[in-house]
Amino acid sequence: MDEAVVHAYGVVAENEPLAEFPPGIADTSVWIFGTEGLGAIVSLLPVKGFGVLDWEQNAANVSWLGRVARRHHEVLQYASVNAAVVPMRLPSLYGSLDSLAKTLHTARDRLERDLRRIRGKLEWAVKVYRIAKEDRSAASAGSTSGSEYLTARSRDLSARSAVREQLREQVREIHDALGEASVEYVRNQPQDAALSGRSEQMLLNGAYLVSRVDEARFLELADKIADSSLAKGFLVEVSGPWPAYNFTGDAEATATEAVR
Amino acid sequence: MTSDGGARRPEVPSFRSPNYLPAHREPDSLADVLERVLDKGIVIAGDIQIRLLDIELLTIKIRLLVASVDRAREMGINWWEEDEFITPLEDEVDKDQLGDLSRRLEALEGRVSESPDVESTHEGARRRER
Repeated sequence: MDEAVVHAYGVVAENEPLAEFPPGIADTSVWIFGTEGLGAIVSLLPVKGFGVLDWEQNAANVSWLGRVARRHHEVLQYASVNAAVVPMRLPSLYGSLDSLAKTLHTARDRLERDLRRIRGKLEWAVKVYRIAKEDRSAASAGSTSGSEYLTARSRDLSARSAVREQLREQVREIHDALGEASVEYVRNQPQDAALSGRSEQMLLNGAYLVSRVDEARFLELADKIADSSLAKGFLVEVSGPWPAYNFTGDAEATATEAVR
Repeated sequence: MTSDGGARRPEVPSFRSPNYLPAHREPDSLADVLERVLDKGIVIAGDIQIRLLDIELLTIKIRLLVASVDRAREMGINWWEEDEFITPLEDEVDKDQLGDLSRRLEALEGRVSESPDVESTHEGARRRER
């Protein structure tokens, strides 16, 4: 390879048993670069095609970025089911392994703290969609006079706002119940329908850091919630386990009181 | 969502097969992957700086783009800035109904001196949640 730039996918403790990484970005080989007890998961990307300018130029190129993001994720996914791994945000480029080593040295405390935070735990995602349509029938529709209309209209609106308050409360309960079964949990901005690819409205986009030993319990609870939610007009979707993307770095999350 | 609970339990990961992942309950959507790898995770600035601002811009750009691929731009481009977790609810209020409402209101205002407090009725429910 001519000129290359180092891409770091994530950080693990040195000497983790990670040997068979899937191919990295641009089909590059991935390995662990160990330094001072930490291991950076890295591959060398050709500068031609993956230099700073390329990233900036492709920032809005969904097929380019999608391919790169998937590879980044797949490497982390492999690592995360076999070791504690702190994911690094894409893109994470370094001019040389030497420079990466220096950088890791300065961030050592943060990295070790994060590794402790997520060791033995993985992230689960739970989304709640709303499948029941809001009752759009309106008392105001049959009004004959203006004042009658306004009174009915105001009643319609406050009824609707009560329904919304109830929705919020139900979704909050789901989030908190799942949070109780996890070590930390966080609520993200719901994805827009166009982004989620779903026509249903997303009410909850939650991430839950769950101890691997508690996974069965967590999933059982999620199933129970999913079953009972259908009747309330919610569709609950679980995905995971994910690398602990939401629980490293400066990510804010709610720690569950009863930490085991 | 299917309810074949048993088949979706996590399994012991196999390191050798291409399916080295434990059972995923739902396939990773590209949206989920992008949301995580571009927006989460740790940032450790090194000698090659794609500045934080650029990464933020990149995230916003990609969200915009993903949003505009499937559905058009008319949906409003600032949805990710909204804090409310039920973002579109207030927008569901039927535009025709609102138009109808304001026409009726105008007519009423022509006839009576004090106009009812309608404004606060349909704006008042907007609230922030965090």
